[in-house]
Amino acid sequence: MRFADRIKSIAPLGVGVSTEYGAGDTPGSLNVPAMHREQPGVIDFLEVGVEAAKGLDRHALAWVEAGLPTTYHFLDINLDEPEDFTADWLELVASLAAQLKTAYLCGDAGLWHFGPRDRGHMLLLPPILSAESAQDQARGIVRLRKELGYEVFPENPPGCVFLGDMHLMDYFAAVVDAADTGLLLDCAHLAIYQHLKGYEPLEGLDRFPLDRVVEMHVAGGTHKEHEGFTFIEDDHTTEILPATWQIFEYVCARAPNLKAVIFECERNSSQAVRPGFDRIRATVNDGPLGAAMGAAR
Amino acid sequence: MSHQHLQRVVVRMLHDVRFAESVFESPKSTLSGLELTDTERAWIASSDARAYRTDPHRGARVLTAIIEEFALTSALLARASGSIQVLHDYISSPEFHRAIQQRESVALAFGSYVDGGSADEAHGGRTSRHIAQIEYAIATLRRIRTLPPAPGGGIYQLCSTTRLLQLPSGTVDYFESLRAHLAGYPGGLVAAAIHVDFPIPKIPGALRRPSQEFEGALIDLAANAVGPTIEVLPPALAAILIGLGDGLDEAAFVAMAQSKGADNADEARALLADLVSDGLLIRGSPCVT
Repeated sequence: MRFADRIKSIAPLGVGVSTEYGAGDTPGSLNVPAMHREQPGVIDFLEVGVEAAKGLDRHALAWVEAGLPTTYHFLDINLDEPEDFTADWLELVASLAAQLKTAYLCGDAGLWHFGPRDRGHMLLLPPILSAESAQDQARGIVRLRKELGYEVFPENPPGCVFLGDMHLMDYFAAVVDAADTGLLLDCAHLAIYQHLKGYEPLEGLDRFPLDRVVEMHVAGGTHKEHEGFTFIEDDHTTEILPATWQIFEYVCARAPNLKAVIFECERNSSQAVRPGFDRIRATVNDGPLGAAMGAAR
Repeated sequence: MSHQHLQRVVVRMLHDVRFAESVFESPKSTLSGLELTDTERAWIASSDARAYRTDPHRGARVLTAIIEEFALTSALLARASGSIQVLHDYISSPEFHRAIQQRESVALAFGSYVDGGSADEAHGGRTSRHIAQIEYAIATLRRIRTLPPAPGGGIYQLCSTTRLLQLPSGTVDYFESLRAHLAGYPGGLVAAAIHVDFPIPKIPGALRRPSQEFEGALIDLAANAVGPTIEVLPPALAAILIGLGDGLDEAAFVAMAQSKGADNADEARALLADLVSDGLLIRGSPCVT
């Protein structure tokens, strides 16, 4: 079955928030279950960032036990490295994904660790933006989808060094086409890339098939400077940059298969994140996802 | 797959400022021997050198994870040289770069860095090399994924959760006293290791000189769920386990044990049965990855 048909079986999830192991126990962080309970209609689902070796923390488990929807965001697979698909990792992910009752798997299609999964090896770098690399990413996505039986949506990673001869959006167009899958478009990561390369925020989006966008991320970032080199740090504050909003609002209005939008803000207070959620919700409500959510109700 | 080789070069440049500078100054010689296309080399050359330096703490973060596993070795190296620079130097070492380029563990490569003498020769102190052998063995055991022994094999070999080391006599005693001492530091093992002014137990004189006497140390990661156990074996048993090498069948074991002091074949067979019963030896064709 082709992506265009498979995507119909995934229900719209709405607006969610991301978390990762231990984030909920950090002082000053967002108490997601409390916000869900006390401010209904703000958070529809939880995206759980998972390192399989660490498992799920008590906050993620409590969310699942309450019967609330989740997505599984991997933090530990280099999709373009066949050696990374170890049997023990696949077994763990299958078990955790089942435990989460995830709607699908998603995560950055980049380098999550150099070498094997090991202490001190973790990082996150973007892929080399070449046609050969795109094909390898696609092979990994197809393999993971077949091994686990879930849809796997790659995400454009952040970075300060992007090498290759393709624009980021052309690269991911090639990836999703070859893997016949959808994209998790991280608007903040795309804004980081466009800034580094000196492009306008929407550069390349006119060439990308927006019906492939299944999920979007919105997050704050901070302009930094080092030795005269300017870049944006993906620090997940609540200060969302204008370029990120511009990308989000452009794509959100034009993505017919959009199922989910995440505000990556888990390390901020509920008071600080509310304006961001409200603007995201308003944008979603005006687009195809809002219509799908309304129809689903 | 050359994009993966290129990405590993990027990883090395992000961690090691000196290497990154060398790539930009002398790309041909610095990147010689790597499977990169001319186009990929051009991509690196045209990138902004400053972009590789935006996170100057990458190397230190990797090093912290390594010191957690090699705390005693690190403490000795730092004390011998009077500085933690010797630890930072690892990030620029051939061992570190080779590990990344060949997709291997940089922690295990640190063991090779010390054991191979790269760090030791410059800063003196043979003890760090012997202590590193123990920490390297533990680090290796942590990373082994063992599958059940394949049935039908007739080879006896050491259980895959153990390592046998031959060390100068007194090394294990010093290892244990150093470990206990560093563990008592308020900030923990890593902080103790890099605090060069925090004194450590005096290295016994016998360990400072080329050794004439050795002890067999058995390191077992499975025996204790909390952490590894290190046991000095009776010399006769150590000699037999060393003689076992990569594995022997029963007849070869019996002959070897007799050559190491077993009175007769029956005693050698009884010993073999005891070692299997204790779980120290396994019979079969264990599959270790």
